[in-house]
Amino acid sequence: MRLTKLSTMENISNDQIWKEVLDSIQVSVSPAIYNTWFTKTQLVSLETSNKDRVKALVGCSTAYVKDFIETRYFGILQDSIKKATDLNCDLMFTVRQIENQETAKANSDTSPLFETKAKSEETNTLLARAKIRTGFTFENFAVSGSNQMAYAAAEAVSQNPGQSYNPLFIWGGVGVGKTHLMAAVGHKIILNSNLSRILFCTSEEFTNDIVQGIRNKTTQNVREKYRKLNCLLVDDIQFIAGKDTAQEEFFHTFNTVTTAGGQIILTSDRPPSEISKLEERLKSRFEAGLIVDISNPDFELRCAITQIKANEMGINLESNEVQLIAGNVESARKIQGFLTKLVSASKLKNLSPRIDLIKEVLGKGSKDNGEIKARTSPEEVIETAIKYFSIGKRAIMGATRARSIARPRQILMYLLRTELGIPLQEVGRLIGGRDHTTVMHAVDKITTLASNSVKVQEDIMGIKNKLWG
Amino acid sequence: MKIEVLQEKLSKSLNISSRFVANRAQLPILNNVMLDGNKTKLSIYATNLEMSAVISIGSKVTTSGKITVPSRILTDIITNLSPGNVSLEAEKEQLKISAGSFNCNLMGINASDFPNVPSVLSKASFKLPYDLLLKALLKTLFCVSNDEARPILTGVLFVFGSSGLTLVATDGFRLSLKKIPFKTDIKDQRVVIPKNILLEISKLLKSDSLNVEFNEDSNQALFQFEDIVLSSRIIDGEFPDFEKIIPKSFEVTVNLGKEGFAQAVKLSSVFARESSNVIKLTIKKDGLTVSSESEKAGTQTSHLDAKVEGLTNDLVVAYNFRFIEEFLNVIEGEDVGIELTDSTSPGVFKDPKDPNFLHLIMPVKIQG
Repeated sequence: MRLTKLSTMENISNDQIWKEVLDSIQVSVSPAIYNTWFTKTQLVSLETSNKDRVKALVGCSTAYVKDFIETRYFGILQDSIKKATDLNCDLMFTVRQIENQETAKANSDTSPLFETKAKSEETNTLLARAKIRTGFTFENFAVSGSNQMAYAAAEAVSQNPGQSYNPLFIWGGVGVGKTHLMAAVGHKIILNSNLSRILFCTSEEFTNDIVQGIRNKTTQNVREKYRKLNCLLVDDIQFIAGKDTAQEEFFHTFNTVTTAGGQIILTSDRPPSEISKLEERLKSRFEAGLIVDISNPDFELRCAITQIKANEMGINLESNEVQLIAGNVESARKIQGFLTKLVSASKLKNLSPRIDLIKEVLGKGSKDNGEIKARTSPEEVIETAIKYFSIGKRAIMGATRARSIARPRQILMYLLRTELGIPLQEVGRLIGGRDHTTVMHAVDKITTLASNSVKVQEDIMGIKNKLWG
Repeated sequence: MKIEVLQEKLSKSLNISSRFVANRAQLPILNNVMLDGNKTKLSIYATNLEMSAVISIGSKVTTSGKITVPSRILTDIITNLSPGNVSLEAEKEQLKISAGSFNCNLMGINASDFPNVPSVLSKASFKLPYDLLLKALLKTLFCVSNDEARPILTGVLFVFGSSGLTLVATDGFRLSLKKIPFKTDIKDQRVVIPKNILLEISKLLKSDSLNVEFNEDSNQALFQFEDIVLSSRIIDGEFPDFEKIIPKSFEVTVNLGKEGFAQAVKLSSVFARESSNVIKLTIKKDGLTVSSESEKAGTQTSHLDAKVEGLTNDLVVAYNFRFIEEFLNVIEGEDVGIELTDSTSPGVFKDPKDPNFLHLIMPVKIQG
């Protein structure tokens, strides 16, 4: 990245020098000569060979132009470059076509014949019409034990929509990739068959449409919109619970779409049997298809996710860096957030996102969701940790440096620092009046350990689970 | 310079050279041709800084020398003279033309300002089979793009390989590929030659051996046949990866008579003109239906018998009729072969008589 930046900067200055040179030539030759010969030239490169000499390579659009300028205007060019750079100049000529921005842009635009299927505009408009986010595809969905089943089911559905599993019900916690998977199915169906009657919506949008329909007396239009679909993807279906009219309408939509051979995919944060206030007939219909769950991503999967997201954001991470991040950040969305933070931090400090910077950003903790965790007091965390490790409070606050005590102590400091965002000094004071540098070391140590020691990962997760479920 | 030449020869040569002279060039000398009398020849030089021509004709040279004169005026004068001897005499910057009772003084410009134009080929030149090249140009040139925003597509790609020469032209909507099998020592060279010079070659090349040279240093292509030396710039840049888009497999093949197909396409074009040139080909088990519709004029269909293989469901593909028409114009045989996969991938059009020719047309996307 740095390299390209340098070369573009050089181009700018070359262009500027050349403009100066041409401006001075324009004065000394007739307009016809200037327009015929000199507008077809460019400065390809300018190198300083000695202290007081530069080597200029002049590109001419064709051999005719090159020959003519070389024989006729060598002197005048040399003089002008000398004036512009204040250096003596050796001139060389070459044939080089001028690529202006317009042609460069046109060259990067592909024409229909050379377009790959995935990029075709039509697919994009179809995706937009179906309200499916373009970034969610099977290609960038990482698969591991926790979501393998769901992935396989989704893939099967995308191959034969309406036939394999209908409906497909995907449930799981926050940020495990339900929506991604569902959108990927939609994406694939559009790619495979250019199906236009496909729609991605949240259950809230569905409810709102019904409400609008009732208010504007256009329920018929709403029905048309949903019941004629070949494929309906509804995100967060649990929110439909308790809304009677919406549930009834959804029930009929469901029946119409499935009997016509259409595919329905739903996501929720819990299985249908646990959604309270969901009508029985809907519940039984949801259960008739395939219900798959996605659990929280394990360490390997988080590594894969980190890699995928980092690639998307154009950052290159070494495998130990990936592991460091995956070991410390527990969900896909947080990984995204962390990487964003990392990029902005690296821009701000002008550092490349290397291991030190990653540690630094990790050490700061997540302030964005501090709202929920602020309710947990440091004392609670300490109590929980002590219970978890079954160590006496006195021991952990004391001066013992035996590993069986010191490691839990460090984990405790790490949690206080990263999860509650308590200042280093304050953490030190809480843990038996320690120095803030001791805390810094502890946070650093655990951050590293979390990426390679399963034990430490388990401990951290265990305490977190006790604290916040 | 003082020479005598035959009007017939001079007139013919000036007709050719005038096509290489720039139109409305700002620099006056580029509107001129250079006449160079040397030993036993008169050479006529012309260039528009994209390409150039040097044409030599035998003449009686009394004193050698050079001068440039406005191309159009000279051509108009010489073509209107009667056949026979014409005497040309340059004095300072004037050209004196006399033939029979006709006398004329034409103002010219000193030849030293004329751009340097290559008039001989170096030893690196090689022979191309002219007849095969002419055929190949006929089958590719019509596909070349006119869009100056993408310069690389405004030329024909010459790919030299162990099996011979392959010509490729595309405008981004269709692609023509023609192989010329012949023995060559050049390996793996790719050059893109601008359309204009190739058009001139296909007009001028009648029957003679053709010498070609590609000079990478000066980025020039040189062609020599009869007494003519043509040169042109080579287009810089990366030609799109055409091999990637040629479908490797297909599902449906259609074989049908060219004449009937051409007629049906012509008929459907009447309505298609009003709906952005789109005609629909519906492929069924027993043949092919060509249809078109226009909001104002109405609809039409014509059914053609065809040999269809590999079809499971009816296939509807829409094309710009001009592309099909232009393809049908260049094929030699009586039949046309079409290979298709679906309605969104490029269709492969073949001439069963010419296995070295392949044509791709991108279908127009239809809604629904």
